[in-house]
Amino acid sequence: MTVDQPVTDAPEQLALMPIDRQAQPSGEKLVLSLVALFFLSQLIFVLPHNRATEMLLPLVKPELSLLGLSEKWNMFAPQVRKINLHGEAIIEFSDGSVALTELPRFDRLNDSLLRRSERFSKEKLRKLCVDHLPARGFEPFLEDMARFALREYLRGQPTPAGAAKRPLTVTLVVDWRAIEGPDEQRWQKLDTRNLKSDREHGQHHTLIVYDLTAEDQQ
Amino acid sequence: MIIDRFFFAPVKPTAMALFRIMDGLILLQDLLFMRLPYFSWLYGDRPFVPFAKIETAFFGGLPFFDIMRLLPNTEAVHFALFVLTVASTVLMTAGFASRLSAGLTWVLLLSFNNHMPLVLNGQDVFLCFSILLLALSNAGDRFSLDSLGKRRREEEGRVSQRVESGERSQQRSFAPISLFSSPLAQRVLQLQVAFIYMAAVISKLQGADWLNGTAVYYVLRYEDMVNLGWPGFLDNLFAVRAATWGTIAVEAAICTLIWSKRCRPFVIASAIALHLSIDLAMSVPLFEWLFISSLILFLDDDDFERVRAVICRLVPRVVPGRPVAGRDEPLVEAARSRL
Repeated sequence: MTVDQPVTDAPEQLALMPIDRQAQPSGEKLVLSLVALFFLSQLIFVLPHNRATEMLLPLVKPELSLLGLSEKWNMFAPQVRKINLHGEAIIEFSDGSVALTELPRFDRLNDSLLRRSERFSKEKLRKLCVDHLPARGFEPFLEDMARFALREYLRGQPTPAGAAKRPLTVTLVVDWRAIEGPDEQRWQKLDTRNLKSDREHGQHHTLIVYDLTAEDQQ
Repeated sequence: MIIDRFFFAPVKPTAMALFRIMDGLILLQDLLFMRLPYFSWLYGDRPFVPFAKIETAFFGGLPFFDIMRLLPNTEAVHFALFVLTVASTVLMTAGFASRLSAGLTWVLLLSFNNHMPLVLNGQDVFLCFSILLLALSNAGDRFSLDSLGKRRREEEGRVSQRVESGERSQQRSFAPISLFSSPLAQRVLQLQVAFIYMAAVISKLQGADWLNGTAVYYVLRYEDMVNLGWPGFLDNLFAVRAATWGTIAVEAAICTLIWSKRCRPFVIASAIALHLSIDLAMSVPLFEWLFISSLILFLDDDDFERVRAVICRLVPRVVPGRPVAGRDEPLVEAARSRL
């Protein structure tokens, strides 16, 4: 049977169609129960935390984790971020010198369409450097972020640092600026061409001062 | 019973087949343009976060699947698995050994997702889950190399049967088993899409800025996510409020009114408009396209026939031009009546 052939003998053909439903009604009930359980688990996972969901979460988390469903589907919600930000690392060396390096800045990709298209390939980096960096719960990974900043900095240096100039500490800082408004007096006019670095992120918040280990310095 | 019909009444695999292709194309872009350039950093010998730390600090004792834990922990092995993921995604998209290739893609993608979960977006999670359901579905029964091969084998079988029996007049075809099958996987995917929008609405309704209509004001001013931006004439409080509450309204409609056949075209049109406008204004790569693609799952056989009829009228030479309206209705009705 092909899609384009005229159907002249449908009843006969349908008689040949295997429909398991009549043969296995209990199997179907089991399947439906599993589907219901699956969506109930997800509902418990996404509902606002209260005493009941806290009690049930340990039961549903393992199965959702196994399926890779660790998402709460709450993009820009419930609270929206009200700042623009970028990350910065201050590296102190054994000779007393200090270097300042920025984590990738996505606010500097607004100059042209071509540069904006860079965001496509850098989205996973943006997730880390903007969404996660200042977020609660990301603290265990801040030292990895510090090591990442150091590695990126050293990669950009022409010659490897000698023994006299070993990096000692990395301080991770978030530079940010509040999005003002939306009341009439402080309404921030939306001009996407000006969403680049001319509005500096003038506020600073230190996330971590990380003492580098011997392993990090290799 | 309505639930039985919904989950088990046979349907054509058109929606799932189209979704399989879209899913595959989106995943290929994700793999080749978003993961490959940062492969060493994400999955290499010295990754951004050591895997042992992911295991303890991210999963914290929860069970998770990662095939890379069973293999030597080297960049070369991980890269070989990555190449295998790309290959299986290509095969899944083309519909070659569809269930097997989709199953393999799911196993590998889930492993890569779990190996570095810190960089995942909602799209990665939904994409991975949808591929699991593609592997469990009949998505390879149309628009696929599998269906082409099957059709060819059936035609060869018919020819040899006619030659053997000498009955030149016997033109009847074999049973259209591959054309109808249980839509269970498609229904679960539909419910999952509706669930995602419901979760999005629930979380928005807990946010003061969403309720007072100003959330979109802030979101549009994220310097790290600008795409083409927001037209200047819409840069006022009225438009911001309309966009904020409109987003909630459309998302609520997708999880509720989309189930009504009468409302569905309007819901789908407004959902596409919402996602396209977000995609134009903001840089949220692939996310919007994945969810636009997922709307295909809500189209039924009649919708596809209508679309096909329109295309037939517009491009008569491209699509075979025989009358299509009501073509398979007897088949569908007879199949449904058996339930």
